[in-house]
Amino acid sequence: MSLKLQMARLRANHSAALSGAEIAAVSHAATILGRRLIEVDDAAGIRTFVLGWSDGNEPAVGPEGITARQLSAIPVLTFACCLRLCWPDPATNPYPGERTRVADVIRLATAIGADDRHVKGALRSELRAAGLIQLHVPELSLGPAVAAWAPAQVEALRRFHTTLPALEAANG
Amino acid sequence: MRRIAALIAPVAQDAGAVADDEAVVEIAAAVCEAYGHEDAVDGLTKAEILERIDGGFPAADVESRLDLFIRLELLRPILDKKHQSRYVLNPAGVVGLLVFERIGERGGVDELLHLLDRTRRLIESGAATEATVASALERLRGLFALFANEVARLVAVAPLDELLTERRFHDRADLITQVASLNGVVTDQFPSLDRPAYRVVVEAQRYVSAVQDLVARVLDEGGEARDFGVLAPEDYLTAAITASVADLASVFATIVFDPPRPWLDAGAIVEVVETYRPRRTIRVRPPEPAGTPVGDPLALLEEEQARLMQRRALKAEQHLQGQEATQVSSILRGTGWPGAATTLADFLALDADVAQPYRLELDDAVIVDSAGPVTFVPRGTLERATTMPEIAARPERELSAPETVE
Repeated sequence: MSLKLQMARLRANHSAALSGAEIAAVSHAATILGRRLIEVDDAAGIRTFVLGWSDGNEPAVGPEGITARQLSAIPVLTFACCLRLCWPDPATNPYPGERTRVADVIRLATAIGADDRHVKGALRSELRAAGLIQLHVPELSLGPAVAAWAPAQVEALRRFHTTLPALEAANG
Repeated sequence: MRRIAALIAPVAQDAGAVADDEAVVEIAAAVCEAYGHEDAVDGLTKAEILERIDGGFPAADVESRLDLFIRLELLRPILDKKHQSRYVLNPAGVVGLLVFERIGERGGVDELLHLLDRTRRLIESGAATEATVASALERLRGLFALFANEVARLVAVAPLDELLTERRFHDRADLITQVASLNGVVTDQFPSLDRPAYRVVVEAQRYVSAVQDLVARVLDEGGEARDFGVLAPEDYLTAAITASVADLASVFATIVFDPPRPWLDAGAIVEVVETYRPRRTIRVRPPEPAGTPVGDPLALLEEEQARLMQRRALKAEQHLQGQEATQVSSILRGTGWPGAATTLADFLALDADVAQPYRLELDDAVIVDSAGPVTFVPRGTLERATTMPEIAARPERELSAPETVE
């Protein structure tokens, strides 16, 4: 498969399997484009990668930059709950993180005030389609899109880790 | 400024005659503007000029330029006596400023067009002699040759950004028409000058050919660079209106589209967490009974959704009565209000679900019956496909993702 096609495959899917010399070639091409190749798991001996942004090369999304589709409040809030539950220790990397129960995510999000059905809808469609979570019912884990975050994004979330919704607060 | 320096070169005393800073032209324009009012009839002092420019430029720079303008007589004392503090503006300087602006913005091809137009008018009015026409034709031929050579040189060696700048200077769609028109009047009224007029046409064609080469290189290199700046916004609008669908589609023939992936960064997450407030009172879920096996809440939701779709499919079958298609208008009128709205929503949901074999085709026409059970009834057909679409076998993640472009 040509290098261009490999890059297209990585962009079109959340992740793609690469092997041998492909890895170095695609990694080199990604670096030139301001992106970086990140290995996400090694299931069944297949090396799988995602394409992330390098620090400083992320597109400027917002009023003064480009317009991109963004998630609405409930999916973002639900994902914040997933992130907090799957990433309990901010000293580590958020991906792959730990698995958490779907029921706990729903309980945490609804405790904040999100509608039960909307939270379930976000888990079932938006967050899963965006690659932000992976469902392993009755559990879930963070998805490959989290692995693709630039280091600066992860660092920013580390600083705000304590502000993410915590299950203790929901129980309290 | 390079273009203006070339313009000034014939009368310049030395190589430093033209300033490098484009701000000097703006200061000159501001000084000219200061005189553009009736109360300037008695001239202005330096202080008044500075006041009218109103701090747009550093005062020291303006004063330095004013001294230069006085020495070069762009600003002249109102009386030809010593110790005059009021100055008037020399109109020749204002005209010069206009010429600089036009040369800077339009390149100089306008002057060539003016010469073409002026020569044709002179001949048509009968005021031109054979000698003046011969001289004008030779000058035109020389100018066309100069421009053709310059554009050919640019096409061969200039970088893309310089070509983009030059391209707008040579965008003259009516040039060949004007040359042909002049050639026609010369042939009619001065047959002896037919050959010089023909040589003007030849050089003009060579110039137009060079401009076409320039445009071709701009489009080739700009296209490869995916640089949308190669064309003016007006060109894109024209293409969108006049080009065929196939031509427009060909632009994206080799473009890879990403699936929709919403942008989510740390800032968005933190903002939502800190600002989210529920719109209604929070219902606190009762504590989970200890030891109760945990079911899958998402699976329950999916089962409920599947049951709903099954009910909708049964409803569609009830109305189809074994046929492959049926008119929805009669169904909706038969169900009355608000049953018609519920039924139509069910049909639309079936149509939207690619896993279902039902398709709803609605016409533009609407049946209006103010006295009937339903005032506005859309016309259309509910159909059952004989085979299930292949897309139904695709994973749900793909099905739920509308297409967007990154």
